[in-house]
Amino acid sequence: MRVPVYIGILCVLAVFTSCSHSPTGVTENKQFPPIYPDYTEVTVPVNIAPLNFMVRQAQRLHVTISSDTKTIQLKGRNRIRIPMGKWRKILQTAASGQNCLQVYVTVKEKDIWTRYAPFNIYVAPETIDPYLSYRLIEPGYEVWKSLQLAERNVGTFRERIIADNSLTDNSCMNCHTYGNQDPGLSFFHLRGPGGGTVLNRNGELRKININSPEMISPVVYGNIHPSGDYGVFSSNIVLPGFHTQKGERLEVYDTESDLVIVDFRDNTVIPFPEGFPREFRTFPVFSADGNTVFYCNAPHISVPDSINHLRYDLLKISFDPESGSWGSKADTVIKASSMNLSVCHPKTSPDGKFLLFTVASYGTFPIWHQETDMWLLHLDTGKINKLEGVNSIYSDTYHSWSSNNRWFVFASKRDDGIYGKPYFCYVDQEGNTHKPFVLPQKDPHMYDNTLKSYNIPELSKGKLPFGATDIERIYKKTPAENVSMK
Amino acid sequence: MKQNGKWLEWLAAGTLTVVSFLFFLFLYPYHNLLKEQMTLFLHTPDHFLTYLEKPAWLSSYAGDLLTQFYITAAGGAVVVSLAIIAVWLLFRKVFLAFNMRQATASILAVIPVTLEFLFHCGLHYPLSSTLSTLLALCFFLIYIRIRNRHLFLWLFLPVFVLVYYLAGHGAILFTLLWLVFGLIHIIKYRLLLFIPAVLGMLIPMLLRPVFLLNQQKAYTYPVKAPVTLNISFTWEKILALDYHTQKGNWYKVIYLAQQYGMQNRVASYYTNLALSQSDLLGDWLFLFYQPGPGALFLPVSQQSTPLTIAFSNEVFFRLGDMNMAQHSAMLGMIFSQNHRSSRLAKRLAEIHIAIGDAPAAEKYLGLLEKTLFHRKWAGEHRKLLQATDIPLREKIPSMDTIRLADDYVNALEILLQSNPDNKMALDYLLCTHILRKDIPAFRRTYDKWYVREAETVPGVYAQALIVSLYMEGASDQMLKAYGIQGSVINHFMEYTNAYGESKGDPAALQEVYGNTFWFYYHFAVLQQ
Repeated sequence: MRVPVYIGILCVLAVFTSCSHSPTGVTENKQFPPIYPDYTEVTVPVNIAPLNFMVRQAQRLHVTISSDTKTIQLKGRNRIRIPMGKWRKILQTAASGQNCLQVYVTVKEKDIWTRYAPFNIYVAPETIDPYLSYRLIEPGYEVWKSLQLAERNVGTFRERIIADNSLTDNSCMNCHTYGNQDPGLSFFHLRGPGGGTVLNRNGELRKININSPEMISPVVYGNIHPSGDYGVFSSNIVLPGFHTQKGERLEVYDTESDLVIVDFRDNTVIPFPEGFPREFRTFPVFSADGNTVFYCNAPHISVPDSINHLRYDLLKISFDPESGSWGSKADTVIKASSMNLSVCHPKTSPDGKFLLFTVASYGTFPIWHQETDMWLLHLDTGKINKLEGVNSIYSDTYHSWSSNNRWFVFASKRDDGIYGKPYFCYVDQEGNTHKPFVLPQKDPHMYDNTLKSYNIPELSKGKLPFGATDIERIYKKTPAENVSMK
Repeated sequence: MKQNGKWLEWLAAGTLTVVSFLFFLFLYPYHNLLKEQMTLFLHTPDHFLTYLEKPAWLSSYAGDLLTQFYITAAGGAVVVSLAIIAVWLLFRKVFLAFNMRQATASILAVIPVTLEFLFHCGLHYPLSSTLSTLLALCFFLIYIRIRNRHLFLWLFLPVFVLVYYLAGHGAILFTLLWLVFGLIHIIKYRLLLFIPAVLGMLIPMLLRPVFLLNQQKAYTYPVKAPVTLNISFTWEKILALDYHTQKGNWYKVIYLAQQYGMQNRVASYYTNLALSQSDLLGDWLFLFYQPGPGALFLPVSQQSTPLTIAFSNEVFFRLGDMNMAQHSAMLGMIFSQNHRSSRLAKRLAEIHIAIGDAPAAEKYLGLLEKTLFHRKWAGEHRKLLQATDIPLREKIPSMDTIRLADDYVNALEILLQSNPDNKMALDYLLCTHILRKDIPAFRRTYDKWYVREAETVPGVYAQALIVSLYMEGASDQMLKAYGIQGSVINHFMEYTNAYGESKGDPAALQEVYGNTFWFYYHFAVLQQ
């Protein structure tokens, strides 16, 4: 009775072991393998999660990852998942050695085995900030249903929801922004009846209604002063319109916009100084030392009929944190309009050396403009790097720096033109940028199957000290603090 | 005698199943067909894992898996009927466990069956909810095999957590049944039973932060939207029009619209679309109820309902207004129950194929290829990714401008400027002006764009033209030049006389002139 059972087991084992035999009759292909996500020749930090990938059409996949002293061998149907422990060790050895991993991929497709050209993954010794926050949202405008702010540990695959609009009466919530990449200093806007700007100071949450009759609207885009005492915001009337031509989609534009600084210590609003012409002013950020505000500025023209001529320049104006007062003169940093371009979303690096910004053909809302690219300005020399190896044919924007200045993250729609995903880019000591890579996922199919966009990814040095239920509580139970004009 | 009674009960159950099956197959198929369209069930491991993030993962997964079979009317009818009869069988068993007589148990079990039946007649009731109930009943029937009184008491909370994780709101039913059973069968310490029951009812609140659910959904999951307890043949008719519109059965839509005679904006929206696709809009517009210009488009705004948003892309897509079609299809997808819809994924793929945007189209085709019943469709449409002869592509405007979502007149004019042969855009523009009673705008549009191919102009356009021409005192030659037949002129004169005699009483004119533009012009009250 037992003999047939043993024979059966042996047969099953034979079948399984035959599947794991080395490929035979392998043809060579001199190109890199068609892996997704594209991790060929990218530069990664030593603390990044395993770069799992797939080959969509593969029947079988054999992968070898090797450094000077270590090797990982993996097999899968059409994807590989790299064990966390082995990955960390091999990254460490690479970081302390040649700073490089070689990846060999052999693919069985249509019953034919193909060995592709090996590719490198360069390992930078500098770490990236370990946490990333973003807003998960289905692409759309005006109407929304599900919105979540999430925090992801970039060294693992752990994602945590820090705010969920199903807990806040389905009200809209804007993206989460850190000050100094510090988890103890951040804000985001909650809309709706229980809404306000939620300010996180070391886990102590305040809800401030930053609006007054003198302002155009409640505040929209903003940034926190390095001291944490001030926030600079734009106040915009934002409208959506639809392009009629194919390829173009949505156009989101301001009919009015201006800047304010809010002193969080006494909830006073410091309006933009008088004496300036009526212009569109938006996307303000503080410089790394907090003594300057960079912002985007365009002449006030009729929109949407003249939207194609609406071009923003990058300006700067001084700010005195001691007295809490704006300067009286604005200087042009980049006259983008003279290049027939429009600037938005400037972000200074924490060391104050660089300013990363977005350029588009016109307008002020980059994510729906396919031509949107990031440019890097060296603030000391005024030299601009157009980041040609970083940008794609689709929208690349909404960037944020790592606290050590060596990395930045940005949202790119390079896969399909619709859904944004977080990409990381290495900036070396010389200011050269390297090929970016997408945030790794446990299952590489995840990006194919998700219908969510990753909005405004921002890096942080640590884990945020609040969660979704804290946001629910502050939305429902805490009255908003009001502000007054200075 | 007892055997006969049992046999009769089973006969009744069988009859109930057959009646339910026939009802959902012949009288009420379109609700189920829509439910399938508004789900997108992927046969992938990561899709399965998303279910584990919420309570009721097992009933939700099984419910969505089985909802795929609603793709045909028969499939929906079979699945719902089997689910309903399973509810009857299990409730009957539960009532028998409460020491009821067989006949009483069988009759009482009809109550939850009736409720389930009525729930399934609603638009938002998921099959997963019925499966939650079934799972709860199964757990209860297994649980009552525990004979040890202490175990019966102390195992309740762990089992409650398990039932909640597997079946969501089924845990509440489980608690009620457990409590009743305990009160009946446990003689001592009956009051003690209330402690775990109350604690159990608090568990969904305690787990709320884990599952990220609001207070209401913590107790109703997997039901996510308000449910109804009635059979709505009005919606069934609208969904019939919607279904045949998707299939391009234009004459069927017109036939059904005639049969139904509905006074409903969505019904008018589909009827007008079918009329335009059959080249009958200019003739038959007023043969059907027209609530105003809103009968031509469904708005996509914060005031819209999820279903009207989902429906609104049909007209934009066929017009060639691809950006609005994409916006509306995208939002329709967002507002479907699980934020995924096979119907809208197909539409988004079609839109991007028409635009010529292969990477975006591939995104949706890739999703559809992971489904059971739509992979073939996706495979066929993948072949179109590189095609150059997509008829819809010609309709897409080549000029660019910005327009607001509800600025339909501007959008139609741009479509016509880019492609004057876009007959549907012209019909829609002319009818928009007609339904707005804007005679000068109608005339301008007609003069600018309309190319008369036949001897005569379509009836409704002739009726609007004659008003415009008479207002400017046009000559007979001019009327003739516009191709307005003598019969239309006579009819107009008769109407003018009758209107004068009626002293503004619509009842006197309704029978003879109710289907004319003139009657609409005088008596229709336009809603804002």
